[in-house]
Amino acid sequence: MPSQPLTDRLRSAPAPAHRRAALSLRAREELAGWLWTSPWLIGFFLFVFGPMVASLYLSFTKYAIGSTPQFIGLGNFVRALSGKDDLFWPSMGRTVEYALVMVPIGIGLSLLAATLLNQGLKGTAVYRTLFFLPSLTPVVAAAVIWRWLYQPDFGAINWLLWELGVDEGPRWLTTPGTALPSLMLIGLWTTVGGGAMVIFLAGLQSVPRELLDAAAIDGANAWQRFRNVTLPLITPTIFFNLVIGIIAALKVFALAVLATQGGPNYATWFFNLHLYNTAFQFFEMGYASALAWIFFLLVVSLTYLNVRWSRSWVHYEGGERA
Amino acid sequence: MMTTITRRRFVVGICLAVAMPVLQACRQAPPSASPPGASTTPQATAASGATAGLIAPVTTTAPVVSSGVELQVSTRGGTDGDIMETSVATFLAQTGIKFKHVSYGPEPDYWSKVQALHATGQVADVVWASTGNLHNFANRGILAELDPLIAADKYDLSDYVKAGLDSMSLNGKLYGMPWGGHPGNGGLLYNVDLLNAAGFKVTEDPDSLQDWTYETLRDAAAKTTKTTGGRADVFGYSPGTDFLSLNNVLGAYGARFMTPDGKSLAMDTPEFLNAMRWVRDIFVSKLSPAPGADATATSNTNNELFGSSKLAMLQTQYAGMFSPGEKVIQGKFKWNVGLQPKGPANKRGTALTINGMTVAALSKHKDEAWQFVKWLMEPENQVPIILAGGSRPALRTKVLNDPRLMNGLKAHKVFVKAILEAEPWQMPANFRWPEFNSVVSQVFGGVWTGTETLEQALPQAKQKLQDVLAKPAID
Repeated sequence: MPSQPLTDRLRSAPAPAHRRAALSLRAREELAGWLWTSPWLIGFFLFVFGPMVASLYLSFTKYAIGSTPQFIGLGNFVRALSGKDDLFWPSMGRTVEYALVMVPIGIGLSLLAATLLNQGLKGTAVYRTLFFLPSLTPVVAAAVIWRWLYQPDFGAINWLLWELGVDEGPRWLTTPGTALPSLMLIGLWTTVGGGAMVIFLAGLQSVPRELLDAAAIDGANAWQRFRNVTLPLITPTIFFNLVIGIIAALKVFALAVLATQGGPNYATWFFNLHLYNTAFQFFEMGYASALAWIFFLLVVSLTYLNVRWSRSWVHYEGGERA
Repeated sequence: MMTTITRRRFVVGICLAVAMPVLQACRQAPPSASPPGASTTPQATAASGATAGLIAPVTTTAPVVSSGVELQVSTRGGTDGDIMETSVATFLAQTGIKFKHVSYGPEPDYWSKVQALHATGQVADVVWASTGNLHNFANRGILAELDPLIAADKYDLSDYVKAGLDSMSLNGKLYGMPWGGHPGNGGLLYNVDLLNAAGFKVTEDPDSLQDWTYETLRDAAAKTTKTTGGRADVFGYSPGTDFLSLNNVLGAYGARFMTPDGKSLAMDTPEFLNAMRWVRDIFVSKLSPAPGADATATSNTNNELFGSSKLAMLQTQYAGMFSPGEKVIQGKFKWNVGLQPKGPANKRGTALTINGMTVAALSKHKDEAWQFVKWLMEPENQVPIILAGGSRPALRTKVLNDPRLMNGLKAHKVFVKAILEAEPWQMPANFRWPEFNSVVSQVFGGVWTGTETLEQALPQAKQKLQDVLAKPAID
């Protein structure tokens, strides 16, 4: 028998029995959506949200890993806030002090660096790379390098000061009075040319050239153009860097562990270092959970206040507000 | 009927699924765990052995057929972990027991992982535990009492240093074997050439420092310190400022931080003040580099300074024979490690500091775990490791007096003397040694840099240290 053309065979094939879908199209799409996002969601709930819930519960208990949590109500929070823990308020104050210095200076210098790099001068790419390099340095390497630079007796900084006629340079990381500012300097070195600068650069490059040209034609000098045109237009960028900067500064931890271990005499004993030591060195996991929640509430509150405050000074194109 | 999975249902479902195991993990260890201080009876271990299909207790001299059991041995990694990795095949060949090394990472995170894995019933059978936290873990039932295993095995402990076993014991029960011990930070790393040039007749034989006192040490530090135009070229001596380092000086002066029962402070004595003033004087007279973040004198900075002849002497420990070591010094000068001198109390300050090997209370293979611990303590298995710089000696005379160590290591012989005379480890009664040590490393910071006098710092120091001792034990 001559073979039947394919199209004929297809036409003559019995039509498949119509099966009614178990799920509607909308439900199937919804299920697919959940399935596609489930790896992240499972990870989030298992490794972030779950431990957060557990730590919230543990913050109301006396607990060391492996023991039975004993419910003590608000005992841990009272211990922290009432000053019974004599390192709580000083470490909180020190952390806020660090943030108060780091955030404005860090944002200011990042903006300055980005503005300079946005001038379109020759070699901008090289400068951009050079500015960005310190932020790529791992914090461990930065701490080791700076510990040697700061070394009072053989370090490069005091050697330079000595060459300039300073008989005895500061003892940088080893005296309580200079340790905190010295750490701030390391922090600035690693952050100024980093992410904030890149974001500012992107913000500056989005400022419409015609507005700046119009201002120039109207007689505005460079400062006036920056103050009255550029700055208002990059306020969303400033706001973003401000929020991220505050959170990053409040989280200061690794640098202190590596460079000073919180010393000397608790001069660099930041809040997160206190939290870490309480949990992992002193094994008071219940109290450490309470410290973590206090810190979390502080960060959330500051961010909320920031958002509220931003409505009065952040200008979005089209008049939208944060 | 259309089935809709609402966001709320999905999120609630995931929350419940996650919250249950997380909260479960926070509960106490399973009831099968030995309660604190509970002993593992020979019957119980025999039963567990039978369950595991054991043929008989094994010894290091009589290999047995593999029982099919695979032990887990935990360490903090690093050198200790390397040692375990290289021991797997030998141990299997000699005993018929397999083991797998697991690294829980460096301290202090190591300790949290041991607790977490104990809480979830997954902790290794053999747990590395040093004196800093061994008593705490023993008190909380994480470690098994070794006495029943030792009794069942008829293992002879008479060869062991008594203070070493005491340091591994709690309430008269032994919880760990003293695998690697030293007498605290009582070593003195010294540059022979610099000392000779300053008029001190010392040699590479550490006994040449035998008659030194703290006055001699201070004098040597002053005479080896060299400056040019107000800047130091060479420093004389670098002391440590952590608990163990200070305890060494305090002991030599007849003082100590806390009473022997670990319940209260013992700092209100003239001896305590004199010892602390001696250390302060070294710093404020600029005979030492500025104290660094790492309170121990054996920081990388100090080791590098010593290795480059910028530091004549350095408070160290047994490991000072290997770090910075000849690999760094490369024959540039003669050096060795002696002991910190005797002080006005006519003794050296010591506190046996030990890396112990313990058996987990939850181990289902305690007999095999004990065989492994016992095997580690044998000279044949330990001496090569010590010679390679991988461990401190086990606190038993067979190891301490081993001719390979006596002849092969530059300063072993003087440390043996100190170990045999050493006092046991000093532990607060509430086992909060890490916290106590942390406070000691912090509160005297201004004293060493000269911004505070000892008298100014002491009230705060005593208050903080007393607060630590007054806390309840971790439970």
